[in-house]
Amino acid sequence: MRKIKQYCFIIFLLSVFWLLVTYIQNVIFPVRFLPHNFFILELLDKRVELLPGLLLMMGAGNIILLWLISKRFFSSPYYFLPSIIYALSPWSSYLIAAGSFYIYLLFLLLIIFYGLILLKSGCRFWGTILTAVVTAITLYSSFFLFVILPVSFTGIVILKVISFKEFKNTIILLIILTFPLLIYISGNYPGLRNIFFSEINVISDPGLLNAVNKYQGAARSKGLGGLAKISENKYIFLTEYLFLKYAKSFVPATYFTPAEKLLNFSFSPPIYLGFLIPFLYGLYKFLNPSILRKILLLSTVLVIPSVLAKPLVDLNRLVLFAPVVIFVISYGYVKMIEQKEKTKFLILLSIVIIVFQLFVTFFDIQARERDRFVKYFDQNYQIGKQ
Amino acid sequence: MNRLKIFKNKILLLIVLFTLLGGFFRFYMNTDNPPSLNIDEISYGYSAYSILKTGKDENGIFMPLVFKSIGDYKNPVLIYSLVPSIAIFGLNEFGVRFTTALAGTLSIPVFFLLLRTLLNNTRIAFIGGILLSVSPWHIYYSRYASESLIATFLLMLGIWFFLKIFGGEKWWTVGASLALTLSLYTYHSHRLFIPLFLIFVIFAKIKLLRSVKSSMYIFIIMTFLLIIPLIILVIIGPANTRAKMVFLSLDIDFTRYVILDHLHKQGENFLLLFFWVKRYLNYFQPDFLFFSGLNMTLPGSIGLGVLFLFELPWFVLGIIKLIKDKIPAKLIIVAWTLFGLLPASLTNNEQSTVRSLLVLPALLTVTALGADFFIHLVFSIRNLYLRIGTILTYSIFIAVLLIHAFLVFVVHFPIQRGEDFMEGTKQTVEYALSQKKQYKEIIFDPYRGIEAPYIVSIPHMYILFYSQYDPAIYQQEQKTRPDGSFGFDNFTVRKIDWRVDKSKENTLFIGSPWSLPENELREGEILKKVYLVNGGLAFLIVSPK
Repeated sequence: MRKIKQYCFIIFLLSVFWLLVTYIQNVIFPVRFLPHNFFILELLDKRVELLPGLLLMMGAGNIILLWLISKRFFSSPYYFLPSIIYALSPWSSYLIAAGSFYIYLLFLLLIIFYGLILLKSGCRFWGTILTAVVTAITLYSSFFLFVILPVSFTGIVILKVISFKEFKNTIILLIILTFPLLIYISGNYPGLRNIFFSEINVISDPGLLNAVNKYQGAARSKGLGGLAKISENKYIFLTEYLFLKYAKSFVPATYFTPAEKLLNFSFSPPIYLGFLIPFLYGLYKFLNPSILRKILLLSTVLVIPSVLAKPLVDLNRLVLFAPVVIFVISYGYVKMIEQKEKTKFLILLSIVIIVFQLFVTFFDIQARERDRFVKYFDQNYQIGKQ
Repeated sequence: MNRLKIFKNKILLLIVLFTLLGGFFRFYMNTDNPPSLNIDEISYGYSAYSILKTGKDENGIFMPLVFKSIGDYKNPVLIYSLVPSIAIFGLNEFGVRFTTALAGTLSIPVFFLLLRTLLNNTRIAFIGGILLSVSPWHIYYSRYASESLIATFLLMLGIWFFLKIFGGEKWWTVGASLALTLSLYTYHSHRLFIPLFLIFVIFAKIKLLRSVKSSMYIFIIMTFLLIIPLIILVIIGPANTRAKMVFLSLDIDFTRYVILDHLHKQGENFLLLFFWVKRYLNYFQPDFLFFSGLNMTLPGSIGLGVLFLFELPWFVLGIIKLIKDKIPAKLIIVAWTLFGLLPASLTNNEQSTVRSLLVLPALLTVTALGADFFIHLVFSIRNLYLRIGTILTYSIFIAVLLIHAFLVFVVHFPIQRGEDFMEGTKQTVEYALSQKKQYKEIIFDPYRGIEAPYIVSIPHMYILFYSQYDPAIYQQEQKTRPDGSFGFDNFTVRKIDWRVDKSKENTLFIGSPWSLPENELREGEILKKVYLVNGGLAFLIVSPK
């Protein structure tokens, strides 16, 4: 009976999510990203596009995966929290409506994470198969994750989140599965180089070099060229800039306000402001248990695709980090509920703000969002590269 | 006992040294950098000069509490504080900038004393004092006449006195009340912050207050009596004009891109609420805090944050310390930061460093806490090589960033921001004054700008200032001409239309190349060209032939 209730609730949540995506899609249609190709297909010089229907299914899949994962962390009925937050937040809905490739990658990442949980919880066979196969698919799909996932796995072993013994078979299977890709890459260096420069737009930005020249020229004219060479060279400026981008991925304004615009024009926040309260509380509580701290530390590699993008913060790429934020919020709620008397007011305040903003955002989307896009980008409905 | 005395003397000596160092950063060549007096400084200076000479402002009002000035209704404290400085040093750049630089310098020992009282820890207070003495945010606003800086100095002084009341000494009450009231009269942001902050502190420390009940009554009554004129001016007078002019709802980003120029009226106020939250949280953005928030360079270029980048790890450690440890004034520091950003976030700027300056002491307190913890962590590294390596690496990091800060102050700021400080106007005015007798009329165009003529300057105030024009005469003169233009003596301030004006004889025209197009001028008509430090042509001085 309990299970049926759970399934019913998940179906209800999926319906709400579907309605939300459809609603946004209807309002902003035909606003689209330029399609993103798969890593392996890019190397083979072929193109395949993800169908919008498939993306919607993956978005829904993310809700189910969040539910399955959180069942391992939270007790009943709190394990619905991450799925609710994900389903209600405009972030993924907007990205699905605009055809984001990163929703597909997020789907794969969540499966990998679920596989790792299975591994950790002793379900070795299915954990190994799921993790290795889906990781291999991910490596074939995205250049970024081709770099990030091996680093993350190394981190998982070094920080002893999962022991090498538990992880050994997965790594062997993964190497076997990705062997063809590695062979192909080793013989196609120019292709890889092209992908590298097209994905990592931050270093191809000419503005940085211009700034260095301008600054050094100005200092030289005052006889201070030597000092400028020490402190205003391209390496220092690039390091500072990357560090700034990295730091900006961790500030609340990025996630809970429209400081960074969804699809480069929207006034809807990625996640509703009311969730900021449990987020801060969760973060505060997250810092104590060492295993959670380690996972949080490891998960920060997921912001790298956004750091290496051209804009200061790329919400499309940063969606890979969204589950981390969502889990911190959920953890915050759970801890707040545990201390009911002390935090009752905060929980209430959070819910009131969320409900209020939900209505305001819906009305704003209907009334202004399309005109807003035209104001920013005129009648050109392509948002740009992903 | 002896050791304690030596330690105290050492600390005192070091604080004096860092105050002198801070004074050097604030006073050294402050007449040339910022490169020129901006429009506010010119107005402050001439209003103070007018008060000094006649007891009235330039509009002829006797000892006003709000200066109409150029229509922006300026606060009184800075202007009155300039009177002795102008009397001593004269009506010049140094006379105008002296008071702020002095307040900036004195802020260092005051902040040290405040922190020592607040945290009951001399070492952290000392670190805080050092951080303030080299703070780019504080140095920048100390180098030109700034109401916000003086108000923040008075705020620190007032809060230090206020905290001293809890020690049981009644005389601090008078000091606290005077300093905080003066701060309210000095700058707009403080008018919202101080009442909120004090109410919070009084409620947070209600148990302690019972022991100093009588002092607190004196404080409340005295403060209330002192602020009555201000309350009247804010409610029924012109003192709220500025607040109305800069309110968030007039923000261009909000009106243009959020409510789409009132496309639909419904729900605008709700959106304004979330827009405000966005603005508020933007003050915690790393680019504002550590990279380019200070606006000393052009938008989009790498400049200076309100804190140094090397302070970021200390700031983070400070927050962790604040959360985890039992810091005596934890709530006061948090309230200072959170309430302190309210006034700035309610105005129509993305991030206003001048309106948010009052949170600097709170941010530096957190940074000092973290720096102290950082030093403790580094010195607890057991491996000697690792310890030395860490110290060396961090020192290089600090040195590189300090060199960058030095270059921003000395090289990039004057080049990139000269126009904001009305660079070039002084030269044009001095030229006009030297030629004054040779012309029947001297016409100044108030619109200027290298990219476009979008800057509206106030050349008449520069003329009054640099000619030390007798305020008594100026107050009496009829300033509106029959044709509707503004002027006095043989100076006129109006837009130049060269197609019409080129036929005027015995007239000197001063304007940007936008109003005096070089290609339409004949040979010999251009008498002087005035350039900015960055090489841009700012003004042409022309006489038609």
